[in-house]
Amino acid sequence: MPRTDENENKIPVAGYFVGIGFLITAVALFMTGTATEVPQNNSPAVRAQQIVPGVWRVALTDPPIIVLESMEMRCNHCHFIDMKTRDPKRGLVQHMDIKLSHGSNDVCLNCHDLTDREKLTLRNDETIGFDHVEQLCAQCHGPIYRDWQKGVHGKTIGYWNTDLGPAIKLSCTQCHDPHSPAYDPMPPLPGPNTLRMGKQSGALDIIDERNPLQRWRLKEGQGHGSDGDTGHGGDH
Amino acid sequence: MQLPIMNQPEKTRDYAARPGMTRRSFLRTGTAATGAVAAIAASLSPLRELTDTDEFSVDRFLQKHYKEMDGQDMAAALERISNAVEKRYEVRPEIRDYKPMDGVEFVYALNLTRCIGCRKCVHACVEENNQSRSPEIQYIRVLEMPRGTTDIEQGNHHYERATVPSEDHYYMPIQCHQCANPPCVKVCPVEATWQEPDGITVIDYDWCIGCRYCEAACPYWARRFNFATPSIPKDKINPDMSYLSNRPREKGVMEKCHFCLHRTRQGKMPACLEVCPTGARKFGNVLDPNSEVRKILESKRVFVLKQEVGTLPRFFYYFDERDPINETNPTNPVNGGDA
Repeated sequence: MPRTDENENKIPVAGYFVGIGFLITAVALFMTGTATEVPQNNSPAVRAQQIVPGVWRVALTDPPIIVLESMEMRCNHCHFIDMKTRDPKRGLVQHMDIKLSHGSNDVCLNCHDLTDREKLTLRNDETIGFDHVEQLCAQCHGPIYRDWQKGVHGKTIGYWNTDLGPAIKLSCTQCHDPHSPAYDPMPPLPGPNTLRMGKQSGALDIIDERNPLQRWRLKEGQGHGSDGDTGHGGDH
Repeated sequence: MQLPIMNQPEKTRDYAARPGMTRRSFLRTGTAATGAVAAIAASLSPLRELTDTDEFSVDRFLQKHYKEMDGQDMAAALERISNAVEKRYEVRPEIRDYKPMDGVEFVYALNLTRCIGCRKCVHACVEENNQSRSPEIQYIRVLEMPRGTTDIEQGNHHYERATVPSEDHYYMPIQCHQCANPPCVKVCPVEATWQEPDGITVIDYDWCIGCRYCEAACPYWARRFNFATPSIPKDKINPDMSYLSNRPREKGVMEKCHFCLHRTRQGKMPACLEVCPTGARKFGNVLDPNSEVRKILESKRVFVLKQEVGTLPRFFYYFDERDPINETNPTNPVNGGDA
C-alpha cells in the first residue's frame, strides 16, 4: 500500500532527531554538571572572647588588697590618717584610675564609709560590706531595685529551674561600674550575611532593584546612608 | 495491489520477512540507543558530586517519624547520627533526646529599653546551635528601629556603627516566637514540625522534605533553609547536642530557634540570654508564679509582635517606664537620674 511507504519514510527522520537531541542534551548535562555556586560567607569572624556568656564585669565582694613590695595593703592602712575630708569635692590625688561619672552623686563619701574605708555607708549611718551593694544602690534607685528583686531588671544566669541547679542573680556591680554606672557604647558584632539578607559574594553581588536581597545596598549607593534602610521583614 | 518501487525487488519491502538490518536502520536505532544510554548516564551524573556526608544510609531512609520511635529506635538513630557527626567533624558528640518536662511552658521576654543592639546573642546562638557559617544561617535578627515607631518595615538589619546604641534608635531582636497557634506547623505537609507540650515548636530534621512552606507561613521570618551543605569549622562544633535541636543539619532541611531545647529542658538558660551584656533577655516557666517571666507579664507593659495575625506568640517584648538611653544624654548634667 502507498500509505505504508509514506509512514516508513517519515519515521527514520524523526528517529535521527530524537537520537541527536538525546546526545546533545547528554553532552550538555555532562559538561555543565549540576553544582550551583553557593555564595560564600565573607563576614569577619567573631572571636570567642566577644561572646563570653555569664557575668559582664568582675565585681568586688571584698575590699581590694594591694600587694606592695610583698606587703599586703588594705584600704584602712592608708585611710586611718585622713579620717575627715577637708573638701568633699576636691580633686583626687590618689585613685586617679577611677572615672567618676555617676550624675549628681559625685562625692566619694556618699557611698564609702568615712571611718572604715573597707565598708560602704548607708544614709542611716549603717555600714555594709561590698557584697551587699544593692542596699546602697536601692537608696536612690528604688523602682529599679524593686524590679531587680523580682528579677525583672538585671540578669539571672545558670538555671531557670532551681530544682536542677542554681540560679545566679547578678548584683548591681556585676553589670554596672559603680563609679560610672551607665554602659559605655560598644562596637556591634558583624551584621547578617545570610543568603536571604544579602551581602554575600557571587550572584548576589548583582545590585539590582528587582533583587530583594540587594535593595538595601542600592539605597546605600544612592547616598541615603544606612539610617534609612528598610529591613526585609516582609520579604517572604 | 502494491506498486513496485524502482529497481527494488518487491520482497525487500516486507520488513517482517527481512532478517538483516539496513544501514539506515542501524544508524537510526544505534543513535537512539547511544543517546538514551548517554542521557541516563547524564541524569545520574549528580552522583559524581556526592561526598561522604551525603552518602545514602538505609537506616536513615527507614527511620521512623520522631513520634513513632520507641526507645530502641531512638537509641539506634542517635548512634547513627553520632557516627555521622564523628565521621564528618572528627568530634564525638553527646546526642540525647530531651523530653519536655511536666508543668512547664516556656516563655521568653525581651526588654526593649535595655537592648543595645550589640548582636552578641546572634553569634552566641550560632556557636551554641552548630549553625552553618558559610553560607551563614542565623536564628536571631536584630532590627535597628527609629524611635517612635514599631513598624518593623522601618527596621534595618544591616546597621554598621562604630558603637551601639545609636541615640535615635532602639533595637528589636526577632527570633522564633514559639507561637501557641503556629502557622508553620499547620502548613507542613509531612508533619515534620510540631508543637511540644512545653511550647517549643520543633523540627525532625530527618523527616523534613525541604518544601519551605513553613518558611513562607511564618509571619516573623523565623525559619531558615539550608540551601547548601552547612559548613562548620571542626573546632567550632558544640558536642552537646540533641535530636530535636542543635545536631548538625543536612542540606535541604529547615531549621529555626528552639529556645536552646537541649539546655532549657535540663533547666538551664538559653545561650542568647547567658551572653546578653545588659540583661535584656528573660526566660522561664510561665506556669511557675514565682518565675521572672511571670513577674514581667504581671508588672510590665508587654506586647507581642503582629498580634493581629493571631499566632499567640510565647515571645514577649516589654519596656521600662523610663528610658535610660535618654537619661544618659551627655548634655544632661544629672547623668542617670533617680531611676
